[in-house]
Amino acid sequence: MEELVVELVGVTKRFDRVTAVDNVTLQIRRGEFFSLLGPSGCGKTTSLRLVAGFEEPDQGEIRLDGKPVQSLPPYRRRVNTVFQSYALFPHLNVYDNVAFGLRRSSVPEAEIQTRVSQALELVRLPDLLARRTTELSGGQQQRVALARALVNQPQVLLLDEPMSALDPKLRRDMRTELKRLQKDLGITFVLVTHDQEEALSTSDRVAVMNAGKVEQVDAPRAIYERPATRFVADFIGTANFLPATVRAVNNGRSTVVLADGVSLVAPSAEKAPVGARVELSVRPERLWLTREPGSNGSNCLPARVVECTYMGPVTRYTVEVAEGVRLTTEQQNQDVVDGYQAGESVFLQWRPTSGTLLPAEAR
Amino acid sequence: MKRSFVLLVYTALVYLFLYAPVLVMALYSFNQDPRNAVWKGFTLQWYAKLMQDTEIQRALLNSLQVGLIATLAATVLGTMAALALTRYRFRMQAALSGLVFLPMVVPEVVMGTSLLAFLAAIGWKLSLSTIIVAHIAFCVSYVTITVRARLAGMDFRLEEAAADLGAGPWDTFRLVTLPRILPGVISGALLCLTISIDDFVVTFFTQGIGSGTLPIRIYSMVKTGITPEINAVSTLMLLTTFSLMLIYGRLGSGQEPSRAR
Repeated sequence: MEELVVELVGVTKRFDRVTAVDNVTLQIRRGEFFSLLGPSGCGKTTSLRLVAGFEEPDQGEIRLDGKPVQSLPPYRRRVNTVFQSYALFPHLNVYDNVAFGLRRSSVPEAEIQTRVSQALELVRLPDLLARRTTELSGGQQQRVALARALVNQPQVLLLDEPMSALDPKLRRDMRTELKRLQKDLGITFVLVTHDQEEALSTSDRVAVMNAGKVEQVDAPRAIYERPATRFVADFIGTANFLPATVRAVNNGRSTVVLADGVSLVAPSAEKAPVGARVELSVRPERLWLTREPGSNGSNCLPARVVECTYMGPVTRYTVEVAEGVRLTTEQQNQDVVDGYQAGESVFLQWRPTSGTLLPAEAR
Repeated sequence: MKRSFVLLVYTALVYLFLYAPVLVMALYSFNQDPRNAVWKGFTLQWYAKLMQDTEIQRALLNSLQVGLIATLAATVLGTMAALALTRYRFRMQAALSGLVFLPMVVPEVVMGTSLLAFLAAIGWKLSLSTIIVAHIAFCVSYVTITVRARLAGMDFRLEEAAADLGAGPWDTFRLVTLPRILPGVISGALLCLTISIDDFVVTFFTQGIGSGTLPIRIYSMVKTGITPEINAVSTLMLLTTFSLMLIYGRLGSGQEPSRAR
């Protein structure tokens, strides 16, 4: 049993009439890189602020290191935050910014000096101790903000969209940097982001949030390969959905039928018993097009090409398998062959293991 | 060319109208003629006489006492009010926020009479303390408004960051909020001091025997004729006010431009 460092148990937070966080339960393990991923307004930042202590939950319990902390003010919690806007103190220089937390806990000045320079070395910031933070570039400010939080050796480091203000190249560098820091220090990182690539590439586990609720908590690969809900499948990458009904479940493989009676095979899912209405989700890159029907045990659907977009290494096709049911697929342009033309009749194929069965959502 | 010449003359006339009386007054404080009718030559005797006038000195002392105490109290109260109005959400906030402006728009006579009636009703004997209380009452608004403007431009996440780093409410205020709003606090205090030292109407209504401030004293001196001594004391007052406003202006223009982040 791994040690839990942050726990949210049935936590609800309302602002006026809006429920920002709705009965959320989360368990974050010591030393892991954990991400809260979701669209804006999904409650991920509020969840983070609840852990930091900037908000009080209306219901539920928040535990740090096993102890309930929901009534503790932020300055009594051993967590530190890197803010989206960095929130560096503009009237203090870099050194005083980083030393701020240590001074509050009455660390001797000599020790402060060593720890501040260590922290700044850690974030690879050249000697800028005496600089005003307002004279720094965005990337440098971000590093100071990181150093200012990490120097206190928190139990948990909370990061609130720390990279959203950086340009794309810097953002990629910073991502690697964050991952390295987390590995080196072994501190639990909780990252809030709306950028799926950021979450998937940095994290040990990701919680996908939507409308105040947690949709799925899993390793990045599982989030992409085995999404638990239609929302997760749709939010992470792109996904195709085919409405179907489960006909049979046999040895981990389920047979589903589409409205027009075509039957397809997919890995079984707990929430998709026999008779259940489901949606079969397949990623565009797992589909391939042929002119002849396949016979090697793959799923096969007759389809008509509606649109094709040449994009260099790949061509994206939109195909229609039934009235109003359209799927997209991307085909590698490996050989110099003519692609398929709009209006052409084709067969759409994929391996049974490439599909995911999702419970159909009431609309 | 012609238009700019007309504009120049017009501008010069406006400034002449505004400042000529003041300059003449200052100039005549150095006049030897005790009736101050015609220029009879340069002297500093009126300033020397001021130094010996115990009435003036007492009034000056009163003015300074009222000004400093009222400024101090109003600055603390006004800053607290500004913090409450910007940092917290509570019932009637909009109404209270608007009411802060009231002392600035209520005619001074009305404010004076109402304060007098109020003080009489609660049986507070008119004295220096009643003047101080009255001055605090109208000075608080000015501080609240200048400090609130600074707070509005301040990123509240800075305070959260301080708390996050282990600073309790007092440390957060002392180390983060106050340094950020200090220009506003000082501007407000200077404004208070200027207004308090200059105030006549409210002071007139709330003064007790022997608690008259400098403006009150000048007024009673004028009743027996304008002597160069009055010019001298007015000139000194003017200098004080001007220097306060100069510092205030400096602080105002010295404000950091708000940053994009």
